Amino acid sequence: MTEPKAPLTVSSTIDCTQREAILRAVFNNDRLRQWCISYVCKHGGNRQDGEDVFQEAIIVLDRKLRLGDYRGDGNFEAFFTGIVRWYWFNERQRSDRSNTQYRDNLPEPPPSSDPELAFLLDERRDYLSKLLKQLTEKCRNLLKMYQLDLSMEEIACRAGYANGNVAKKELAICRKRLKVLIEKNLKWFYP
Amino acid sequence: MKETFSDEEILAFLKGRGDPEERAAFAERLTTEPELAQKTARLRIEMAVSELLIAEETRALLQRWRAQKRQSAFIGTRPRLIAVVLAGLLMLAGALWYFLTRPVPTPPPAEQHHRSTPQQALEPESEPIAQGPVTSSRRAEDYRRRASRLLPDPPLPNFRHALTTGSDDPVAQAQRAYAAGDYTAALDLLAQADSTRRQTAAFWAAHALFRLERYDEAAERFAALIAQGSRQYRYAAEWGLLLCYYAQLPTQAPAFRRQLQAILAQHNHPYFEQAKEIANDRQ
Repeated sequence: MTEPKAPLTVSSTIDCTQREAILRAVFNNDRLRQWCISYVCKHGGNRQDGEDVFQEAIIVLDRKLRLGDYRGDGNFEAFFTGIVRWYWFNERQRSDRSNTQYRDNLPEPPPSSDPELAFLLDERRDYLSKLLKQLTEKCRNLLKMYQLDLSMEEIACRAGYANGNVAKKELAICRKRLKVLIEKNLKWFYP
Repeated sequence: MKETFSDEEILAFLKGRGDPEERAAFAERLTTEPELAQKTARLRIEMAVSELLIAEETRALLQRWRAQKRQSAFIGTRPRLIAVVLAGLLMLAGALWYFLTRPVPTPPPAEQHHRSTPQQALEPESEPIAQGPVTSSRRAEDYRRRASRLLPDPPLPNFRHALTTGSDDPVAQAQRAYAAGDYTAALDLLAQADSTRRQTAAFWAAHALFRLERYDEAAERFAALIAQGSRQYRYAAEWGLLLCYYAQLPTQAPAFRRQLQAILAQHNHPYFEQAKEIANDRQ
């Protein structure tokens, strides 16, 4: 199956303003979408699976771009299709579906600067969700914006605080709460 | 060699920052310093929690784009062609009517060229030159469109699958409906919110009403949040209220000016710069 060519260029560093533009460009790329659906259908899935995988692959792509796993030194489309392949392969493993379609061409995991983070997100997702449920909506928003590397002023603006210092204090409170929860439930992640 | 690493420094390494030598040195120290390794492991879990939140927000954003795509695709082929032809004919008719009936243009009043500060922009404007209904209705549409662009959607919460979140919570269901573009359903659900989430429900309802172009009702909700002294939503509500009036210009010009003045009087207001831009545009 030939790789689709898409007019996308991504530099090695992205900031928040570029992030949504890149996600939208990939989302609107019908050729990548069709390739993804065809790939999933060829490997034991259906059209809806293909749409879901396309969406989840964009989410994984977003994380990898933000965490520097793509350095702008390779083919962007190949990077994305690699994510699709690996994601679908893992999904089938998880659901105990047969993976005989792969035979000898098993997909490789996409580049990851921190495989342990990928492990937590793949294999410990339910426990992470349990921690999330114990946080207030306010803390979830603050943690999300902090992870997105927004400045304290930007966080203050979005969260409705008077200034960056107030946002910093509120964030510190939320991070402390999360630390306590993590400490209390460390055995979930490192038995 | 650095003795200790702060949380921010460790998180920066976990996020792939730093030059390769620093990263290699850090990785080496993880294998020889158990305390650093433990601290890093905990921070990694914190990062994973945040990444899960971002994933849920991105998922909701993609679903909203999908809904928008479906909506625009629904304007299919033949109906779309008919609509385009009709719109073209209407525009042609409107242009012919305008050029055949427009009055001779006169130079604008002198004072309108010399405003240089936002405060001056707040002074009462002189009567505009008489213009045809096509232009004034286009202006009103421009204000609505610009107001819609300037109002950010409320930050979307975690939309993890029903198994792990309270899918029965009407506010969560309303937020999902909002993310999918179903503002009417969102309003119905928000009306069922319990008293502990009244402000959150009011904030989201105000946004849903705004998107439905029910600006007066949206303005009421924003004004109520301001009056309640909501710590979380006050600044965003003040901005929302301004945009409700902005979308209804020129009919709500006095209320718009008052609200704009209120924001411009607070130099630390998070939306001060944006309010200033609106004021400059209005000159």
